[in-house]
Amino acid sequence: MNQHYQPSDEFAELLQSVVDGELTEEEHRCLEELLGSDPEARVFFATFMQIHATLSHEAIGFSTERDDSAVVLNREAARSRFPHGFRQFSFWTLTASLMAVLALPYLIPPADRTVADNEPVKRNRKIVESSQVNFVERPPAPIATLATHVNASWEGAALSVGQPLYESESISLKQGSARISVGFGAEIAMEGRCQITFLARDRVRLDRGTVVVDVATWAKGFTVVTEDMDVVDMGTTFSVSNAPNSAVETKVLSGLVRAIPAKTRTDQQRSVLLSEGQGLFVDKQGNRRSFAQIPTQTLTQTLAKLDFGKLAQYRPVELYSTGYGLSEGDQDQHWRVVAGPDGRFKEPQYARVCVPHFRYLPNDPEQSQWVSILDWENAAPSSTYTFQTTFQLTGYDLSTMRIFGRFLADNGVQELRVNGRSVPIESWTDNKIYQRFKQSQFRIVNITDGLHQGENVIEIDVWNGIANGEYNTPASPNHMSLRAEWYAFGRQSSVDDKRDASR
Amino acid sequence: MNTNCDSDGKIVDLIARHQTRLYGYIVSLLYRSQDAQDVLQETNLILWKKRTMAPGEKDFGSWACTIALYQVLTYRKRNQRSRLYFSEDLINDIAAVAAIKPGLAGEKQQALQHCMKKLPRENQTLLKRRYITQMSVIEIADEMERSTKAVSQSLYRIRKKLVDCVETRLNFMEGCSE
Repeated sequence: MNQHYQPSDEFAELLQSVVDGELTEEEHRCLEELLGSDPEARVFFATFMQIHATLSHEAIGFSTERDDSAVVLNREAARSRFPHGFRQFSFWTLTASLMAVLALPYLIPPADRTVADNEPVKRNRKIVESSQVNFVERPPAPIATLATHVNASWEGAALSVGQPLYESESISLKQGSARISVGFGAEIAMEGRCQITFLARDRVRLDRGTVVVDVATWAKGFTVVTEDMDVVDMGTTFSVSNAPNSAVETKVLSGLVRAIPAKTRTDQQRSVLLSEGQGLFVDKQGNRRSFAQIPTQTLTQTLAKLDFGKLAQYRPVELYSTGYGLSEGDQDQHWRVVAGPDGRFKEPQYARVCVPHFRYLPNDPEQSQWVSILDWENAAPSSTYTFQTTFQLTGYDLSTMRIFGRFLADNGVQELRVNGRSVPIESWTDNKIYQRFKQSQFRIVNITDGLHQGENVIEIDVWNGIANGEYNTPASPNHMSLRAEWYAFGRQSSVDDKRDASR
Repeated sequence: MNTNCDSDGKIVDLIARHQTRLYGYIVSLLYRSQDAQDVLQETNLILWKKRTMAPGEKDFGSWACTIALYQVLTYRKRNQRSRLYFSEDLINDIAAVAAIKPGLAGEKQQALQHCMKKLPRENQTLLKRRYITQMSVIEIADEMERSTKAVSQSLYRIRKKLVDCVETRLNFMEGCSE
């Protein structure tokens, strides 16, 4: 018995890191060494962690004693703040939760962390296709692929043709040449020593070297960012060069670009429009120098050498994220709830944008929002609701399709079908006590099969679990909602320029 | 085979009543709450599948800990490429002192409840912010206009008080694996 064990300062700090933060690798090793060599420290650690866990797991001790006014929880207030129930969970709720778990073993698979990853995006990483909850932020979406390469040598692991490239990922070519296809509709040619970073679906950063970018007519606005100048496409082919400690230059091979130097003198315009054959040079001091017209023959030869027409550009699929561009309470014309539990679900209805529960990731109309049935706060527990959306693939080369969905669901997704055919994913359930639905809960699903020309239908079976909390029973109605974001693109076998981009 | 638990209702009752203690046990071996939640879920499934082998109420906690330990080691093995975990030897060493003592599954909670009541009001308020409202240390520090280090240290001292108090009241650390 070691009632009065006194941890060293170092041990105390490690314990604080364990329960209040995240241990660094070095701290982990220190802790392991310390615990391995000191039996009393192990006993203290176990007790310390158990008490921390107990406080986390139950509101034990936070009682309504008469002299505890400062910590007495007003349970009614707590109920209103925690609609899923007060923090202390009752035996009944626990029992019910357990029964639900035990009755549905295949719906609640144990989390598999084989692709656990809190680290920055790495090349060659396996795409998360199921119930992984391993990202501090949203799991990054794939927004481009490596189309071709010739004698390419890369910093780090080699890239292979067709390999997806993710938001925030950097790729660095040491030698040779490579062609990147961006899903937004841009082809990027890299040659020699060159590094780019994918900032967003419509934006890359040129860290060093030279790129030539060919932008599709539907992808106007695609931007190459450098430290000293942004180059915004306005329907064009252009090059950007970025030499360390030197300057940035852009040349327009065809069409029009807007160049926006980072530094602008008061006597200069903020941006410069450049047309075919023109170029702009910006040095580190913000001084600009326009190029003289590049000879037409040079332009023609350069474009012929690049041969951008050889491969059709990617084109985004018009596939709508939930609640995109809508206000809370609006019906989402692109999403319907088409099925629900017998006796509780009357008829198919358009999904509505929810006012998110405080445990939900806040809505973002520019990206995605929570949608559900009208009475979404009182959905039937232990039930499945089916959400449906449709999209067209007319004119696309189906063998080139890249469709990635990013999902949050209260409480999870049981199945996803494309044109009635089940997509092989692991179902998941987020239904722990005081469950939060935040960035890290997003799951990515990769859809590769079951697509066809014309209209395609995606159906998502959202599982609504039981409400956790002592004021709830397994029969208590509770919140049910879905949030979906799409990254979908493919090469077209025939082009229809008037169609809109995915959102 | 021990079939003291003669009905599914009884086993559900036992599993439910041991959730917090099992969670604490698993946390002491893996220390990350997310990992512990996952293993607890897996453990619950195994406990259910093996329900016909469950011992009586007195020894149920020890039995559940044995199963949980196996699940912890399996989980560690499965995920050790992506995350840092204690070595298998160390996990076994901690497990030996952390598991539920036969017949004392609920005693620790009672002791903790008693000790919580003895805390000064400001300590309870701080714990409430951390555990009831689930504020991070950074959020608490912002709200209280204190440094995160000061808040973290205060929380540590309160937890230390609780450890001492609980151990004074109850020798719950011994013998689960006996």
